[in-house]
Parts: sequence; structure tokens; C-alpha cells
Amino acid sequence: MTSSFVRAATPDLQAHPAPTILVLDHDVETYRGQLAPVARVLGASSRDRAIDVVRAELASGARVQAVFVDLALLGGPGALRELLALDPDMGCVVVTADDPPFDEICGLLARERCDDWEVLHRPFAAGAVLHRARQAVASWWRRCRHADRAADLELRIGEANAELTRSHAATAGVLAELRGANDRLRVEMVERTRLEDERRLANKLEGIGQLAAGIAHEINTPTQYILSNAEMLESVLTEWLPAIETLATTGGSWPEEAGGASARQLLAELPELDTDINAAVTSILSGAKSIARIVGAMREFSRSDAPEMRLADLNRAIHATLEVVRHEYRQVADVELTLGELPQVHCHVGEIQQVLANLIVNAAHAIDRREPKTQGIIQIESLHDKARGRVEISIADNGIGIPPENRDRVFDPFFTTKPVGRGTGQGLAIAHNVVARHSGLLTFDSTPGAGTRFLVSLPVRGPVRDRS
Amino acid sequence: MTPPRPRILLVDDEQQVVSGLRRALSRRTNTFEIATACSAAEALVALAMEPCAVVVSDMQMPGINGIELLDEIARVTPHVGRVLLTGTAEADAATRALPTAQRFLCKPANIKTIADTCQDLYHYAKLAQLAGPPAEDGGEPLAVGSITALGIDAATIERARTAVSAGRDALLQVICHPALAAALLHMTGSEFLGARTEVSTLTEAIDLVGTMYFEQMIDSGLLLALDGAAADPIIALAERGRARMQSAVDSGASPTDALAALLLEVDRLGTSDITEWTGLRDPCGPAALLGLWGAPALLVERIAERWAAEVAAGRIGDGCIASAPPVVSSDHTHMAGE
Repeated sequence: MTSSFVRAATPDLQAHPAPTILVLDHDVETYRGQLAPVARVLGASSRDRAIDVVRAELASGARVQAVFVDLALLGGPGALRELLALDPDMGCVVVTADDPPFDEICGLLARERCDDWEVLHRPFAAGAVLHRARQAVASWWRRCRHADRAADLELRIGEANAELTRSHAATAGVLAELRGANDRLRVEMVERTRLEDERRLANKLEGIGQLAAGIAHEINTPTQYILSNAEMLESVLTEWLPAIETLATTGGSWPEEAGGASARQLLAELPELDTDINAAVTSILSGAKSIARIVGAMREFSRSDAPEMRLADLNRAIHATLEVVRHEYRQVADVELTLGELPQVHCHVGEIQQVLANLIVNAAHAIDRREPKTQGIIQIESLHDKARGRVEISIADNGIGIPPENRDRVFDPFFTTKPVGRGTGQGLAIAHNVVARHSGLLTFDSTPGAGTRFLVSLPVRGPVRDRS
Repeated sequence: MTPPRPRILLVDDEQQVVSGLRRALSRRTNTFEIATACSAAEALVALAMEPCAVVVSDMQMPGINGIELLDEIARVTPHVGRVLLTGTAEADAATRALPTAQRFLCKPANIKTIADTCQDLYHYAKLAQLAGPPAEDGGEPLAVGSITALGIDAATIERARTAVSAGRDALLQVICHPALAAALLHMTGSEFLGARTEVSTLTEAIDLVGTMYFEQMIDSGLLLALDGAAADPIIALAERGRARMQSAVDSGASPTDALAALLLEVDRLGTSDITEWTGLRDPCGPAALLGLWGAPALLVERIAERWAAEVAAGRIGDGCIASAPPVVSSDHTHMAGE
């Protein structure tokens, strides 16, 4: 049951007939070594050769699902442009030793998929080639499904048009048909947007839902000491109010018949009482502030409702996130913050907070799984890379680390090594998608037994499509 | 010289929680002296140095957590009352605490609830000391407080598990068993389930707990399943309880009284080890056990009365299995709904 679920959610190399993958690079054999068992690998060492290969495939009625292009190769981005002109659905993997030229590559791609491409860094990490191929082929399947849908819609519009021609005489009827087709189309589009919104909301709710128990605990603690101290003050007031009134009305003469004895006793106990009352009031105020802080952080956390991206202070987002997830890490790790000066970043700050929350909770879980159990450290750093116009946030833990064999599956939906009930395996997959939507990069390095460091890198000016 | 007052030890890793509780409790009660600790380790040291009547502990603390702390206390000083006071909202928290925490309170708890709970535990611990036989070495008498599990035959557990999936009515068919009924009443004593209403029948208890928590209760470690020959004496004991219940019903007793009859020897099913059965123990006071576990006061009272009468008549104690009343094999299950 589980495996078919996974399959449906992640079209991978095994789930479909063997895909065809084109490699525009010198060392085709390296790729073939990793991909051969699951894919048909075609190699090309020049732009012209690559174009010929794709033409031949198309001519024979086949498609190339994904292409690896080495940017260092003469005419890399240009080759990509021509290949995409031949078949715009192709999944793209850009091979590079440096940061890829985001804007240039995004410009080559159709608007709706301008951040839907992969980067393969040299030197290749174990399993990285296979992983990127899987992502690129998955993206091809996604697009072709959309394409099918669009083709279907076009077909229906075509039918409506044909109807129009046939019933030329009855203009009113024809118009109604046309309007109907249009309405259906509009409904279809609205429906699609709604589904996307729903999915996003569901992800958000999952995030908050998983944290709700912890947040409740963090609020119940200060509520407990506010309540105890308030009850103590109430009892003090009830007991001493009559004596205080006596003191006030008798002007210090304290006649016995007006409660003088009790007033004198109050005066005797006052020094000790005073300390207790002060401590109680201080505690109530600090408890109320704690609750206000947590509630304030939750309010920030739920701001992902905003449909458009806004400028946000990511250091503040880090603080708010820590407040909300405090319960998840407090028992296992201390947090060390090294926050640099950051510019305001154009983003969905609520979504970015969810990404951070996921990474922090994961770090805590990785620490919690160490043996023997000792308090760990989660280091969070932020910095502004002015030269590249990016803000980077890194979250490092000294937990158990990620074994090499799992590294290329870290971002796969439903992949998890956590015990049942600890994670759905969705967290990092969602985080990856969110960061990708921001034209950012989510990467990690890990040493088993020593820890893992995740790096979120976001363009300060927001995703490419929002700038144009 | 006045004897030292019994002590309540408050344990919470949040300093403000313990100091707030200490201030409020000191004003509220003159019966107890209040001590505090900010970690389980600190609490164990405090306990070793000065005796305590009741420990009220937080659950989630760094290092040793509250459940582990109460576990240790149950093992080393079983006569000390054990209360968990937690702000957790996790669904299985109450059932995880079931074997070791005698009472489960939720933050924020008002000071009256906490003071009453401590008073209650202190009272039942003393009752248990009176009920139990004196220890041979002159030390602490055998403590009801050491009970952290109840023996039950595996077949009944299996029937209960099947009944859970079949729903509430099926559960009512199996619940007339001293161990299951006592565990259920322990569960209803937990504040986690919301209203601490005084239940008077097992039907009410099942409706309050619900099938999900009932299932968690079965798996919580509070019920220790026994197989084969080891199960024989406890099966006989359960049968005798049911027979008593039936005759109480036949003679027109109230539902509470009939339930008391079922539970009259439940303490003998108790074991201090949730993994290993140590055999039927000497009777040490079923009323004290259910009282410590937060069962309804009226029921506890009825059990205490019946128990005193049975002991006076020589029907409880050594050899009571041999002199057991004849086992009635008819169906007693309709009792639960009454």
C-alpha cells in the first residue's frame, strides 16, 4: 500500500517505461555508469550533435525526457536554448562546478517552468547523477500531464468551435455554446488554482498541526505559574484586606475593637509577605510576556496566507521560528545564533519559516537519536552574500548525520528514516519545493556520526519571474 | 515538640513553576511542608535526604524525565505518593504515565486541585499502611504504592482487544473483570481526559475514556498478560470477583456496591514489576489502591467497608483461594450497564 502511494507521488525512473536521457558532456560514460540500469542514455559531445540526436528521436516518434548540459562546454546555455526550442518539455539538469547563472537559464525556459530545473555540481556526489535524473524525468512527466490537460482543453474548445460552424444560422445558440466552453475553461482554471492553494494550505496546516502539541505545552507552563501566583495574591488580599482597611481608617491608633491585633500582625509579617508578593507579581508579568511572545511568533508564522511575496527580515523570521519550535528542541539541544546583517528579502516569509522550522526540528531529531544522549548544539547562521545578491541561512547540528546511501533520497517525498509518528517524510520535500519556488537552493553536507548542515540560499530580490 | 509535617516535593525544570506553586501551596495548606527541586536528579537527592509524602513532578525535563523519576520512586520509596503535573497535549501522555503516576494533572492546575490531590494521596497511603501486614523486619509495611501493574490472563486481554474494534457495546461484555475495571477507573482518574467526573458505573467509565484510550490503556503496561499455569490463580480470583458481584446484584445492591464486590481483591493482582509477574501478593488494601489511583470516593468507601467485613469474617487473607465461594459460570456481563 505504502509503496504504491510513493510511486504515485514520485514518478521515478522505474515507474514508467525507461526514459531517454541525453548527456551533453565529455564524460558520457560516467553518466551511463549510473543511469544505464534505468534509462536509455544518449551521449553528445557537441551542440550540433545533440541537436541531431533530439531531431532523430522526435522524427522516430520518441521523446527525450531529460538532458544534462555541461555549462563549461562550448555554447552550453546556447545549446540548451536550441534543444528546448526543439522540445520545450525536456527536463533540464545544468552541470557546473560553480553557481549556475540563474537568470540566464531561467530566461531560456518557459515562464511557468522557469525555476523547474536541476543543478548537478562537480565533483559529483555519490548518487547525485541518478537523483538529478530522477528529478528531471519527474518534471517531464509533470509537464506532460499538464500538456495533456491543456491539449484536452484545446480539443474541447475545438469541438465548441466546430459546433459554431455547424450551427451557423442559430447565432444565439452558438454564442451560448461558446460562452459555455469559455466558462468551462474558466472553471477549469479556477479549479486548478484552488487545488494548488488547497495543497499549500494543507502543507501549512501540517506544519502548524505537528507543532501544536509543543506550542500548547510551552503556553501551559507560564499559564501554570501565572495561575499559582495569582491565586497566592488573591489569598493574601482576602486575608489582609480587613487589616489594611483598619490601618487606613484608624490612622495608626489600631483600637482592638476595629481589628487592631490583626493589623499589628500584618505589620509584623509584612517584610516576608512583601518579598513573596513582589516575586509573585514579577513571575506573573514574566509569564504573561512569555505567552505574548509565543502568540506573537505564531501570528508571524501564519502569515503565509499572503498571496504575494513581500520584503521580510529573515533574522526576525529565525527568532519567530525558534519561538514556535522551542518545545521540539529544548530538551535535546542548545541553539547558537550567529546572525549577520541582512537586507530585506523578497519572499513568502511564512513559507520560509516553515522551511526553517522543518530544518530545526530535523536537527533536534538527529541529535536526539545519538547514543549516549547528551545535550547537542544547533548552530544557526545567517549572512548576506552581497556579490551574488543572496542571503544564506545555515542550520547545523551535531546529530547522527545522514548515511551516504540515503543522501540522494533526502528530498524525496515520503522518504523518512524516522520512527512512525515522528515524521511523514514530507518535511524536506516541501522545504525543497518552497525554496525552489523562491529560485533558491537547499543543499546539505553531512558526516555520519558528526552532524549535518543544511544551507538555504535565497536571492535577495526574490524569484526571477517576479522581477520581470 | 511537634512532629515534623509531611512534605510535598515539587519538581519542575521551570524554576518559576515550582516557586509559584510553593508560594500558593504554603498559603493554602498547613498540613504539608513544601520542598522544591528543579530536576529529577535533584529530586532523588532530596528524597534520599528527607522523607516525603507526595511528589508532584513535571513530565518533560532534560535528563531523567518525570515518568522515569516516578518509576524510580515507585521502586525505591513506594509509599511516596506520585503525581504528574504536565502541560503536554500529546494524546498518549496519560496512558504512558498510567503504570507509575498515581494521579495525572494538567497544567494549568489550580492550587485547590493540587492540594486536594496531595491530601488524598497522603490519606490513602496511610490507609494502606494500616491495611497491609507489618513488614517482618520492622521497616516500611508492604506498600500498595509499589503496584505498577495488574496481572490478567492473556485470553481476557485478547477478548478486550477484539472488543475495542467491535465498539463500545462489545467492550461492555468484557469489562467485568477486576483488573480491567480497576485499570479503567485509574484511567478515569486522569485529568487528561477532561472532566474528572465521578463515575459510578463501568459504562460511564467506558464512555468517558472512549475506545481509543481504552486500547492505549491495554497496551500501556498497566495490564500484565499471563499465560498458561501462571494465569490460573488470577483467573480463579477474577471468577470469584465476578461471583461476588453477581450475588451482590442478586441481593439488590446498588451499582456502586456491586462494583465494589468485583474489586474486593484487586490489590492481590498487583505487581510492582510491569514486565515480570511475581505472583498473587498478600492483601494490602484494595480501597487504598483504588483510592491512590483516583477512583470515585464513594466506590472506595464501599470497598473499604466490604473489605473490613470480609476480613472480620475471615474470608480474606491466606488460603482465601481454597475457601473461595463456588464459581458461578453464568453470564454476568449485563452488570456493567447497571
